[in-house]
Amino acid sequence: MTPARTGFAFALSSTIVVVALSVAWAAMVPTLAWGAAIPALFMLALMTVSELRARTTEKGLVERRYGVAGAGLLLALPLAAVVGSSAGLFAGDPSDLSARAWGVAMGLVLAAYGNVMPRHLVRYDPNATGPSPRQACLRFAGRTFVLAGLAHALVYALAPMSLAGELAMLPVAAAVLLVGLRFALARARRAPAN
Amino acid sequence: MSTVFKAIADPTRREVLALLRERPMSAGELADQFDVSKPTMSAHFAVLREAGLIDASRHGKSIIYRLRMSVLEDALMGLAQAVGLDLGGAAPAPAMNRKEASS
Repeated sequence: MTPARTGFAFALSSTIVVVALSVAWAAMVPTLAWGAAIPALFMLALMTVSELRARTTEKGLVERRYGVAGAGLLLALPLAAVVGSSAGLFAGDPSDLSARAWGVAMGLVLAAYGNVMPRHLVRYDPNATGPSPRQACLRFAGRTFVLAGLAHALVYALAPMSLAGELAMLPVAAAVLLVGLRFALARARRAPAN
Repeated sequence: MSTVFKAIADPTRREVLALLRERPMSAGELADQFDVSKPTMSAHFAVLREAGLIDASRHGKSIIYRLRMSVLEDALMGLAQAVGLDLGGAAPAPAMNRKEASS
């Protein structure tokens, strides 16, 4: 099968899976269905468009598939928590459990995204003698987002639900701020040389 | 994952990765940093490429190597470095020359 046709088949099958999961969500917990489905469907749409456009590079296809797998995780993990709770496998309120599972999944997706950030290739400069600022920034951003994602997941897994939302945002907001500052500093240092 | 472990088990390859952490470098620039033959360096590059830890692209007449390590792989390498992991036998050392043998 050519890369383009593989891409189309993958896009179609992943759309069916995510739509099916969304329908299951709506049936199980109608009040929470959209909160979980909208980000996942947005990610899926983004990845599907990229998938269909990236017809030639297999590496690109693999990375996009991880993205769609992340979108699926955002829907499947909370749904599994709700189904498990309804079936009596876990104790507790199904809404709380699904919110916890969604927070854990979001944290894991952020950590996975941070994990692959440093794999982004930087431009080769034949005249460069010192370290590449962009490469250093990407490594810093990757590590920071991995830690923030794990912290987000841990908070949702362990903290009381009344505090989890606010507490989990702290490491993520701090990570975004730190990474933004790091990139801005690198840009400011480079500016006088240009 | 086993290819990653194999790749970071060798100190020379870890050194290559440490150099590429700084910036992309040509094969010649990298080879100049080591007292080993070019075929041996090529073998090391091949192992790293196979593990997906580096990317090779042609830039004029040179081959440019760039780092493609994830945070997890970076952490594994840091751990290997910290414990001084050297599995010797796991690393292929083809085309050893006199320069290497004496070092």
